[in-house]
Amino acid sequence: MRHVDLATREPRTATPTHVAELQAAGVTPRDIVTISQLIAFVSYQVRLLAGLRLLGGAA
Amino acid sequence: MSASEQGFTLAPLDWVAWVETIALADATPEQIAVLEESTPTAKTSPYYLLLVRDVAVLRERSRLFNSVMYAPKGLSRADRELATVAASRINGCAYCASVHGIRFAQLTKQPEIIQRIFDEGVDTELDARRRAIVDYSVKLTQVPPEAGAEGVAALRRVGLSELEILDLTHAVAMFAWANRLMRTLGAPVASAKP
Repeated sequence: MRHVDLATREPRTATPTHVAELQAAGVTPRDIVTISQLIAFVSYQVRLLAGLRLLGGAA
Repeated sequence: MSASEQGFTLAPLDWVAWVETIALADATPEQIAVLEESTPTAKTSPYYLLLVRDVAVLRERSRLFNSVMYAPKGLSRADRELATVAASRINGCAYCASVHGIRFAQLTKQPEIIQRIFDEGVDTELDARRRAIVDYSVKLTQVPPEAGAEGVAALRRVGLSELEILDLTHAVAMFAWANRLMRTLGAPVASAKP
C-alpha cells in the first residue's frame, strides 16, 4: 500500500529501494508490472475524467 | 529540485529497469506480437521488455498510447509533444521529457522552448497559445480538478477547438500513466549509442 501511495502522489520520488522492498516481500516481477500498470492507469483515468467533465461544462 | 539535479536534457537518454526484464529469446509469440505492435524499437527496449511481462495490459496500453499520440486530425503533433513534456517535467520523468522534447524540437525546429522548460520550469515565458496549453497540462497533471473551467476557457480563447482540447486532455492523462511507469520501474542513464 505504501508503494501505491508513493507512485500515485509522488512518482518523482521513487527509488530502486521501493521496488526492492516489494521483491523482498515476495512480489514477483510480473505482479510488480501489473500493480504498476494499475496505479498508472488509474492516474490516467482520473485526469481523463476530470478533463471530460470540464469539456462537458459540468465544472 | 533543480532541472539539472533531475537530469532534464535534450540529449538522448537510455532507460534501465529496476526489475528484471524478459529475454527476447524467451518471449512467447503473443509477447513478440505485442512488442511489435507497441513501437518499432520495443524488442530492444528494457521498458517494453519489462512491461510485456503482463502482455494483455501492454497490448491495451500500447494501442491507446499510439492512438492518443499519433491519431490524425485534432491537436498538432507538436502541441501533443509540448503537453507531454510539461507533464513529464512536473512528474520528474527526465527520460520521457527527453524523448518527447526531442520530437517537439524535430517538428518545430524550436529546441530552445523545451530547453527553457527544462532550465526554468513550466512557468518560463511562452507565447499565449503555448502558455494556455502548458498551464492546462500542468494543472491536470498536478491536481486534476484544478485544471478548471478557466483553464478550458483559456484554451478556447487562444483558438483550440473542442476536439483539440480533447486530444490535449488525452495526451496529458496518458503521461500521468507513462511517467509513473517510467519513474517507478527504472531510471534514465546517459545514452550508450553514438
